[in-house]
Amino acid sequence: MAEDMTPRTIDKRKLPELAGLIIAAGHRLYGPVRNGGEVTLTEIAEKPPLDFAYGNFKMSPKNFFLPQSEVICRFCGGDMLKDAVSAEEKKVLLGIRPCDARAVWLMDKVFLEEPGDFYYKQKRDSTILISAACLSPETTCFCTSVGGSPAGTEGSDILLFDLGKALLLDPASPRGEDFLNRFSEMTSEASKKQVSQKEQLAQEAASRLKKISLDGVAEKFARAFDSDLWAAPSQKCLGCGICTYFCPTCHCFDVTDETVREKGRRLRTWDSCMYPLFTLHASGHNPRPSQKERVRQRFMHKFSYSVQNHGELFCVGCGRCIKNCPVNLDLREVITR
Amino acid sequence: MSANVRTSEELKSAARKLFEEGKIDLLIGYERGTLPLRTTPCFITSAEEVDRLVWDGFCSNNLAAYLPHLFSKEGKPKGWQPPKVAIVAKGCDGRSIIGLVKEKQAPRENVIILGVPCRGIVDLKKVLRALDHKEPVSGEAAEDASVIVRLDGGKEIRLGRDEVLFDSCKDCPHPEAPVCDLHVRPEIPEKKAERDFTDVADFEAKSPRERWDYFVREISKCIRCYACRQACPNCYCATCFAEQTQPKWIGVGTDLSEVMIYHLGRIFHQAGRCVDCGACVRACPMSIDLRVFTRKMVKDVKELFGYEAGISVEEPPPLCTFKTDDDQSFITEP
Amino acid sequence: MNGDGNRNPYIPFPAKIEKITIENADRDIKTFKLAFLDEGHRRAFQYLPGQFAELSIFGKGESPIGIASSPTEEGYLLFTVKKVGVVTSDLHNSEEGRVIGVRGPLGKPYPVEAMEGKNVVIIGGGFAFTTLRSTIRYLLAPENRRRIKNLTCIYGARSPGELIYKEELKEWQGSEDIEMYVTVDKGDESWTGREGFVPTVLKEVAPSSENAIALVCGPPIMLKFTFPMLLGLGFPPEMIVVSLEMRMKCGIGKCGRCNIGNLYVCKDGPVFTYQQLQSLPAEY
Repeated sequence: MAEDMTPRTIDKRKLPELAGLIIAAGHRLYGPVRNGGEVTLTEIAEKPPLDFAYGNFKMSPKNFFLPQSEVICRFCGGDMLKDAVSAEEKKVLLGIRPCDARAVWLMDKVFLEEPGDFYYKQKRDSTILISAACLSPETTCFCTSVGGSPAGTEGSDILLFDLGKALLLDPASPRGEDFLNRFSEMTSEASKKQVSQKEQLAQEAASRLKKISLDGVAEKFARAFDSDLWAAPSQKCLGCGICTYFCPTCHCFDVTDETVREKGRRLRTWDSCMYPLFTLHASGHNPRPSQKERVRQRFMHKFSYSVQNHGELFCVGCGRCIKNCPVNLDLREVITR
Repeated sequence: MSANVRTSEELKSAARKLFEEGKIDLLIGYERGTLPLRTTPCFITSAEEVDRLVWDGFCSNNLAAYLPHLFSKEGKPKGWQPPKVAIVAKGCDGRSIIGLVKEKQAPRENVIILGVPCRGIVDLKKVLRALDHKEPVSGEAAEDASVIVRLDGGKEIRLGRDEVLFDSCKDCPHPEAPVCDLHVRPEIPEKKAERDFTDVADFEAKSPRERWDYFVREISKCIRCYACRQACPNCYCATCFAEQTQPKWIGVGTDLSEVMIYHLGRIFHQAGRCVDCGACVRACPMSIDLRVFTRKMVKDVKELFGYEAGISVEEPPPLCTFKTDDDQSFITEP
Repeated sequence: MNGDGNRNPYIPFPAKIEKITIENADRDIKTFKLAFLDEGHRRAFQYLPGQFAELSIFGKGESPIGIASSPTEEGYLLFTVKKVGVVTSDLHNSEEGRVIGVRGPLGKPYPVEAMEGKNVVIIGGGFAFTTLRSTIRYLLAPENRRRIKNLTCIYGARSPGELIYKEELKEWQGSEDIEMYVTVDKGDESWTGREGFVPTVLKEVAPSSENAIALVCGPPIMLKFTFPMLLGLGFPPEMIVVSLEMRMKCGIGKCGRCNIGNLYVCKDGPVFTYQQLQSLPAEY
């Protein structure tokens, strides 16, 4: 796809102007903002940062497509109120990493599959994803082991490379190409030299990543369902849910009704298979009664069932679960064992 | 550094002996983690595995959190007997264990508390801030909790105790578990003076507006992941009040008022039980300052009832007992 | 199923409760007769036996309930609901005339095409009999009855008071089109019928497995003993069909909750063959 769309470049110093044009065109622009060492994806009103040398955002952009808390509909008494669903604003996400973009591509397979998820689709259709190729992966990253790469294009509309003085903008989807065309006066065609520079940077970044062997992991996991090996990692799991909340592909949610007197709303909120209440039947029966079954479920879903259902591993190697786990339960360790 | 190594060796030989004498089925301790500066809880069941154990200023998790589930009868097969468990305990962890024993979540005779001398735990969030969020490649903690950290490229940085010590450890009067079955290093470190609550008093002196704004700012960061609850040894309810549906006390969304009630409710449920171990704060991925609430709880209980959680098995918990000379000021002068 | 690509699958359609019938002696199982308010919704709700719908009560939530009526019963839907939690309790407190929401039809139905030309054996236990009622009514309709061979049904409950659809059971016991066996685990003074657990009665009746398909629906304990019995009678695993229950929320395979292995009970089920279950992890 990217071969027949020509990459463009823009001088870094002109990025603020481009940002201004994007905002003026009616898009809300979100980009990397440094906050005392941490980088978060925040709305930029004016000057965008020119720095793409961070590791990754603390939280994944999952919130933009599947918010932590989202209203499905509002009601009063027994009746649903009309216009319970509001229109979505146009957004541009600038600077997300290819692993997170790939995660969105994976979530598309679940949420856009028939019957399509109305709310997800609305947000997806109104958001442009400009990923920034990852030139300095962290030690907890392992995207190349799960089918991704620091310069991967799945899920992105445009892939951006920081070439030092200039930024190379590689369209990665028809929508991305369209978007670039709209601002074509700001950019120029990339030179052959720049294109080869980008290739070199991408290769260097990929070579820095340690590979974990995941050959045949889906079948191996499926065969190991009843194995005792699940007991050890689940013993120290606290069941806190942090891994699922920070994971860019974990998408389990809960639907609950909330009311104040008669008025109320039906909410969709993040849920986690790590919680015991997740599969608790009203009768009291729980098919996953202990942490062992729940830890096993998370791994089976990501590395085995997803392959059976969608042909892909549902892990993008971003490493957030490893960094944030309070008991240092390392996904990589569990897989290799 | 060498003091930590000595403690680790003593711990390993004590553990080995316990297994060889058949006194325990399981030992819960710490082993080296997969990331620099991290340790991770380990569960060992034989003398051969004892060499995995480590002890240093990175051993932050409160291991008592694993006890209620180990001893709970729910879901266990018929004829199940509670295991004999040895558990490595810092001062705060040891107090949590005693608290659980008092609440009948762990039978005292089945728990062997291995008291380790703790000079304080390293706050990894502070280390990262000091390094401007550059990833360390490796590092060690000295016995006084100062650290040496190495970055990519070989640069070595020393960070002093004051820069990296976890806040609860600053005025902790219990370097070793007050009740323990085995002192891993019999030379008990000197007990410090009583806790200094000036930080709480300073905060209390602020105006209601200032305090409320601070609460709002901190609680707004919450993503309802419940890590604070799961990491806390005292939170062992089968269904937390925050998730009950019959009746539904609060919703599950991120509405500020509901999240506020979740935190305040959870912390109030800790009154007289919280040992200020900081597990909740360490677990929180959003770095919410939960201790602003918990410290106030601990201070109030100390001042009103002269009680500190987990010091003795016999002392009855203040919120379960009534004495005629109990301080009633919180009712008469709230 | 609704094929409208732009429709929001999370929004229920309103339906009025036209009649409420109490089914059991303990009075905690009721059958609700529902009719859509909108003619278009009613026409679009095309279903087959075995499917379910999410009954939606604003302010309380949703509950996945098997459809008890057969598509041959026109103009209304029947749902038999046991009072177990927040939503079902509120539903039980309803009066006739109340409007609630219905989202569906959801799930895969019983394999009616596979029944063509075969002997059909239906085995149900307790309150799980609801979708089997749908199946029996469907198969007894003349245009369907002539397409299958013998129709046998074994249905049991803990006690006579717990039997549901009592009037229809009597009707079926007197019918020539179906061999109906009703049993209870333990009778009472007035009970003159059979006594015995469903798997035991199955063994006594011993329906032939030749050219036959068995549909099973019941509590886990009944399933545990019925499967080996059926296999013992010679039913091949792909000819044993079961409907499972699981905690559900979205009902359309997105919220990740109701899976057994890689299959979602709401979307790939709730009807599975025993052969499928054998290849899935035993997590239900």
